[in-house]
Amino acid sequence: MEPMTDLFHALASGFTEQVYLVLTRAQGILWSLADILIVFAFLKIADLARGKGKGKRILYRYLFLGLSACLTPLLLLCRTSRDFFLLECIICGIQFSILLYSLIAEWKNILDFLGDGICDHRTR
Amino acid sequence: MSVFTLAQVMALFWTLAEGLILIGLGRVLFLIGGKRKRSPVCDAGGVLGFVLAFLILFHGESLLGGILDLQRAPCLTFYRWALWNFFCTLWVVLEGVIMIVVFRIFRILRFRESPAGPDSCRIPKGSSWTIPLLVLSLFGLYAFYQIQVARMMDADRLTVQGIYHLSLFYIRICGVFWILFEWTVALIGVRTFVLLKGRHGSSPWNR
Repeated sequence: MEPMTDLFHALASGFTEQVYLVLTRAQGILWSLADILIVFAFLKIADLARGKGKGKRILYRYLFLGLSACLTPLLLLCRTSRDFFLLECIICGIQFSILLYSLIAEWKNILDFLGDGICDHRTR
Repeated sequence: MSVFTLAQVMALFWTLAEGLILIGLGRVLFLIGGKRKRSPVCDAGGVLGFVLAFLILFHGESLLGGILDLQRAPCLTFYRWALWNFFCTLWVVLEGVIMIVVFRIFRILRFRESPAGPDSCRIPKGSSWTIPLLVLSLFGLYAFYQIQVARMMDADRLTVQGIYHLSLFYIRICGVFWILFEWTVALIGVRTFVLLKGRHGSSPWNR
């Protein structure tokens, strides 16, 4: 376990907050872009389900998602980990709120939409 | 609201949000997989886990102060960062399980109308260990890392700053998993939308 202990000692002295912030900005951009894509894909699937049931199109949630997308590049400008955390709370908060609200609001539509395919398959 | 309190609140919010998303996706998987019954044990476990998370986050220092020597700065720093790292690990686990569930949903949707029949979309034998293996591996990594830090604290008198730096590095390890799992879910999500759009025709608004 000596090499492991040496590695941990090196990290304890060398992995400073400045190094952490550089890596955090890079990782933060990557996972935020993935989150935007996840929420967008989910909203598109929900729109498909609404369309089949002749419901209205989703609008405001796309706008809020667009807002979170506009805030995402600001992660690169954060100078402290505290600023990064606060901005990430806002961005993730918007995206998770959209996902949670959509999951609850579109639940029946999506289950009916996916369930239709099962019924069609079984009656063939 | 201080940053510390905000971190506590967001830790609970993110855990609740991801837990609810996982429950919802699990319900979808049950439905399209042909199963109708949901295990009440899983639901009870989720509620209990959330209550425990709340207690540990907001009352852990007072509850565990008698057992752990939290009066000393290195011990308090280690405890607080180990707790935050636990939640980082929990989010990685939840997202990893979400990734596996989303993949299974996509597999069922993709193959349920194939000429091979509904059997072709069954989960292959052996893959039922995927989720337990993922959970054990990630929490095992967390335990190994924290035990290593604790040993160094006892043996080498690691400073508060050293504990802080090591905790920051662990968060970046979690970041690698977040990126990997979330991009996988994102790409599967896009493929699922393309698949469903092709099966059910264009949405009335996309003409």
